[in-house]
Amino acid sequence: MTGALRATGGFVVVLFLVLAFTPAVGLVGRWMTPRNPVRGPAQAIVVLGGSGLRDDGELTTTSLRRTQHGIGLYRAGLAPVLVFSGSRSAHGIEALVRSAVAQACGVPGSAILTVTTARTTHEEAVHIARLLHPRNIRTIALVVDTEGMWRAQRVFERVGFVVIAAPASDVSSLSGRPGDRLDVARRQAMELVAGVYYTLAGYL
Amino acid sequence: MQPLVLIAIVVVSTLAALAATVRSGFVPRDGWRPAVWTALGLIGVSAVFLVLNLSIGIAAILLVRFFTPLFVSIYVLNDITLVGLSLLQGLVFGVWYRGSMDD
Repeated sequence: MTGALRATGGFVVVLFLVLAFTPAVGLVGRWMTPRNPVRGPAQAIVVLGGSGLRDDGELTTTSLRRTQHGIGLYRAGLAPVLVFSGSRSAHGIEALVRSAVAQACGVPGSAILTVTTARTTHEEAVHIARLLHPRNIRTIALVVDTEGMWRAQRVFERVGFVVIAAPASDVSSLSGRPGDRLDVARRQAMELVAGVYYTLAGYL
Repeated sequence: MQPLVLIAIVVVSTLAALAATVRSGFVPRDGWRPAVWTALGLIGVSAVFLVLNLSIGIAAILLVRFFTPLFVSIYVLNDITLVGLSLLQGLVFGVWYRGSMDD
């Protein structure tokens, strides 16, 4: 028992040093990055929810980054429709705040669709399919963080979409700072857990 | 550059503490080895608590999702605070168990 705990502690220390001070996290991130991202055109750009809203009702950093990426793709002419997902919380509705940001950036309201009822990636796929399939929209550019793209892409393909990966990369994933590397490693670990859960649940 | 600065700071403070500790004469010079083993054991206990806390959290969230109309995001567990609290648990219980750990 004692030996096992010491071995576990040694493993944790080595893991910490490797994640913080070597390019291991970047290599894992490169492996998780889609091989052929952003090849258009698509029929719609779908921006998945990202941590909702802050206590002051503003978008979280993750949500804002994805929103900006979606707006950039729309303005680059990748697709004529921009779909924002984001559910209701005590501080507002993420998708509606994102829509307002996009309109403030010059995206016409008529080009924006919102999904406010989905709370998980699986629900987002199902609800967005209900919204877009009747409009004969099958090919989408999917905007989500790099770490979550492989899971989200498979979930959306399962409900009948042809998915073009358009990951919204986090600046910290490109950084060599130990704290940023650990932050990215934490997100990668969460995605690993989510991937296991989605596999067991039959969503992938 | 920043990683090197961090490592340099830690190396300097470690050497300073080492010199002060050895010169004080209050602790045996070869005591660092069991200290490292004890520290690794405490970190190991903390890691076990972290896994336990995450497992309990995930199980509780899934139970709430499946058996109530409420929705709780798994991402509530994605907080660095849980690491700190697990470390605290590991230190308290590890020191408590230290007699058997140092057998």
